[in-house]
Amino acid sequence: MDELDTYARAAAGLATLEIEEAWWPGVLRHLKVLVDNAAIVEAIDTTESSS
Amino acid sequence: MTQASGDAVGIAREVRAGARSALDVAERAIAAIAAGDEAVNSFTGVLADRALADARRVDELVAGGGDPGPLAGAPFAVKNLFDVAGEVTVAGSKISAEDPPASADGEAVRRLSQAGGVLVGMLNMDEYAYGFTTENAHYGACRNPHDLTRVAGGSSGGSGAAVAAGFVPLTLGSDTNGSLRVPAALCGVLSLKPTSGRISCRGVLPFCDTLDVVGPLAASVRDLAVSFDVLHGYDPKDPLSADRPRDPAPDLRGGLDGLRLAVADGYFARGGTPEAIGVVDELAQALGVGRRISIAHAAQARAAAMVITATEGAQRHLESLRRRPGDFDPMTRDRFLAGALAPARAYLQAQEFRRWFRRRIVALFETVDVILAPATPFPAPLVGQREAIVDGASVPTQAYLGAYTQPISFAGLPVLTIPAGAVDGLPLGVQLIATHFAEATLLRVGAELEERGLVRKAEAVGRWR
Repeated sequence: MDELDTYARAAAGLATLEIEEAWWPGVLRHLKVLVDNAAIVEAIDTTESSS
Repeated sequence: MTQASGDAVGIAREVRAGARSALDVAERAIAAIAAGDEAVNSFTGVLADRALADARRVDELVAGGGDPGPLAGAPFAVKNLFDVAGEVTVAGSKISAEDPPASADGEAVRRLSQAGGVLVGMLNMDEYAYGFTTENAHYGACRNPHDLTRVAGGSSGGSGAAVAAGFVPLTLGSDTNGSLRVPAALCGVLSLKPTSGRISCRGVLPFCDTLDVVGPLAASVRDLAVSFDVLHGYDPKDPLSADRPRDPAPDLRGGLDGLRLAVADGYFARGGTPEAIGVVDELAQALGVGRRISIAHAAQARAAAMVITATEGAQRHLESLRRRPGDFDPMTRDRFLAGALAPARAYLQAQEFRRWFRRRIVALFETVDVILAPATPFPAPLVGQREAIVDGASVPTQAYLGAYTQPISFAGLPVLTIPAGAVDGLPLGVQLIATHFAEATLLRVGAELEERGLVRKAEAVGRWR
């Protein structure tokens, strides 16, 4: 979670989003879900024939 | 007596025949809402003046020998993300409630009104359509008419509850990941999620453009059929509208002859309560459907749908997230903020996978016409319930309600959701899924199921009085 926290705070800065400290646990929990889901999608070989 | 002592088509027939006045129907609907909706909280606004004026116009047309249309005098209501002329499109939010009123009706609202429907109000929803329970921090939770301690589903929760409670026979909702199908299932009513691009989304506040559709909820198949006939068709002013000819009016006769039906296996046969999955098996057994079919990569489709939804939704609301994040519903805000922080690569890969998945789905439907699948993994949770137990494991109630709907909308398929049973008085639904643009097939199957008594509508009217 530390790496995710570091990434998220940097990304929030770049996006000029001001996120209150109290909101971070919820935001990080949801971001973790998205990152996990992205990994699930990335693992699929979409060059495989669709037939 | 509520106004909805008949379905929309039944009311329209009586009004057109002069056996009942549209004005009387509208007055009864408004009275029913006033008497009962304090408990249900399905409406966020009632349009008494407009409804009564529209109803009078319908009656005048009938008296003059004119034809007001197939929905003559039938009251309907719309999720509050549809534009309604002169009303603010709040979309369940505090932020958009400060926008100016809409200058015109959304296209779907316009079409139902043009067909003689009488708009009586706007309906509760999850903020910006991001949720499956309609526990709205600004406008309150919409309650399930079958049990007021439970949610109505979402995000079109008001649309499901208003039909189940008998306030109106017909509503409009939207569906990005299951927002028509989840409330229909939990409230024991029917919904038709059309193929992507089938019904114009012009004048509807978007949640996630590439997944959004709008569609009707009702208490009968014929109401969905007539509504679909009125609503569908190319709209050149909607950039995502499907440019194809209109279908003929759905033919509800013909039964199941020549149709290949199968039950969704694998992903759709696990991860839910035995009752939620069991209603699919019971329906299949009643129909003599023994074939089982696997929709491969459904779990991955759900994962990709969540990535796309969060990132597209966040981009749409980015300025509000920057300027006034504290004015969002906390449950929505955290997810939108997470979506705003997700890397672009995740979104692009999800869209690439979606194209690939869609091609596989198209191929799958070369071997089958209609697939049966559960609509939700469990019946309506309690208001405020954050966790549910499925297969011995804890799952987040809100997000998990879409487990069976998200993979289907991800492929843009049409789905008819029907009430197919109940557990402890709480309705359970079944999704009937067809290939793209095959809504007529679904309505034909639905009519046959209704004829055989397999559409198990539960009576909610009066339970909360």
